[in-house]
Amino acid sequence: MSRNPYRTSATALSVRALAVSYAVRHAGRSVRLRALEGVGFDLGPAETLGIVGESGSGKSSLARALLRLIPVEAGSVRLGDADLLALRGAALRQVRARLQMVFQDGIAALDPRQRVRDALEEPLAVLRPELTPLERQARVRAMLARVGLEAAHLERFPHELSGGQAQRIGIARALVVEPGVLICDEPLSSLDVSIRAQITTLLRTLRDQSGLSMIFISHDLPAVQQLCDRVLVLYLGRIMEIAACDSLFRAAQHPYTRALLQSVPVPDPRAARARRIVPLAGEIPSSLSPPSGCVFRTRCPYAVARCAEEAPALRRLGESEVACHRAGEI
Amino acid sequence: MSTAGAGSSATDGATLLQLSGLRLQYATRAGTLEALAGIDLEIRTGECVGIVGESGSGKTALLLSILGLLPPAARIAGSIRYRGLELLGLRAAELNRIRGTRIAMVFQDPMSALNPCMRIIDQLSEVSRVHRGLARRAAEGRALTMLQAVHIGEPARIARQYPHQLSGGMRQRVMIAMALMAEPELILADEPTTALDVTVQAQVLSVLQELRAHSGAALLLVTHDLGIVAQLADRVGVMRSGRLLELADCQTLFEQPREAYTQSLLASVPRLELPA
Repeated sequence: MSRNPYRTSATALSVRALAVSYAVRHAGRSVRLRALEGVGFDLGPAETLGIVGESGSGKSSLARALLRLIPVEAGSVRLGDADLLALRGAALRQVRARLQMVFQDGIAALDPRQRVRDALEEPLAVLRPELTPLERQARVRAMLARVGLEAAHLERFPHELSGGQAQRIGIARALVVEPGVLICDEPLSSLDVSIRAQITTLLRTLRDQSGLSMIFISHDLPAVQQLCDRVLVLYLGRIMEIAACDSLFRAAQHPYTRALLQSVPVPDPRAARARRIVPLAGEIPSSLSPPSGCVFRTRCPYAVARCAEEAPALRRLGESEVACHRAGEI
Repeated sequence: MSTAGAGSSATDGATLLQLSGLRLQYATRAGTLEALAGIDLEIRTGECVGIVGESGSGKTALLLSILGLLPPAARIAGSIRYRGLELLGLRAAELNRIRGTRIAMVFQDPMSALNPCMRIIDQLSEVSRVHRGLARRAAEGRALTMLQAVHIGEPARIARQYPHQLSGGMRQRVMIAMALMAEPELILADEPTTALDVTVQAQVLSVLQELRAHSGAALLLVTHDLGIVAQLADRVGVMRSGRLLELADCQTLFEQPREAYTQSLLASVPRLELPA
């Protein structure tokens, strides 16, 4: 994208054929719940990739799998030249300094008994042991200023912070070790509207200043549109569509993407009442028994016999990559 | 009743609920906390009034005050008149003739509002048996009709299930069906779609819109989402720090907001840029 001077052709993060499953007990038996299947994408330097989809689509499983917080069943994840899934112990810790995460609930993500100062110094002590205590403190103060907070906040405990302040601390804690890739898992969803706008602006500013690559997981589609260069649409753990942000919002190819965009309420009484939307029927099926063929077919208004027989592969169509047999003719 | 589309003036003008100078205070160790600081609001039959505001603005406190669901520590003053009858100071037994039958509530989190140990059919039919004195068979028949009205597929099967067996969207529809069981004149809804995904939210909103058109019930809808208000409300109130800052016709509020706070709220609403 032209607005992005850091973008080159190299990749910051490369994910191939990622599969994640959980062992769960169902009807008295142990069964595998497939949370992600065949997920692959590249994240460029200084690029922001949005990941959207309903609850149960596998967004958070993807974030956790990339950080190795949950076991991966198959596939590969490369962070620059490091094979993330092969690393253990100290080597994994080294790499984790390059890949950090911002969590959904800013207050819950902080240790309630730890002052902000300690919460910000701890990742440096663990991941940047070469720094002296003075250097650590200097970095923490500089980081705090970058997220728009003051030195007075250093002595606070999490319960003394507002939701927006706690999320700023969460962002500072992730960025203080200067990662190349930041994963934000629903960073706005616990915040009020006016605070959401502030945090979105902050993330954009920090990214533009440092050339950070970012994965932005959200069900807030307007925020995704504001922040992202490309968008990946997940449904029941499979990729439905990937496209550049502007073309996805202008000309979505997958019927699920279109339904998702149509469902967003319009904050304008005239427009909201003029449009006649037909809500998508039903809800996302259980990952325990996904539909045969295309997983979206049970809710798709365009499904035909072939959709039940054969899972569609991702294919190039217009400016999108889309997994739908009928995209292009609908 | 007029047409399904909200926004058309769906009211016959009679006053259903009249709040005057409503104040709500909590005595805390840190001093007195004022949750509502003098609210004046009128709701007319059949209309939808949306109340927007951020967390802590007093939106939920307003709804709970109307239903008399406040904790004992709450000190409430002012007046809440329902069709001329003063609700403040009524004994629980008297209040119970109003709540559930005339005024019903849809809560934000159906999982904690529904009884986890009761089948859906029993929770729904209890409303008609208690408030309308229907026999079991008749009450169950009505419950199935209401489940159908909120577009639950296979209502007979779903009716035999417990709340934990249903999805979030299904539970919220059950809550709406339950609110409608006693044919109320006024439905209070507290963030009824906040816990739902956008596609399911769109389904629930269209169910609400459809039912309001059929039943003629008035709706007092509390939400932080201006997009939902734009779609459903006839009039919109903006709350902040326990005060109703501004109350206007929906279109007027969006197009000519009077208060600076309303303007900033509108400016911070995320908008999706889509081709026409």
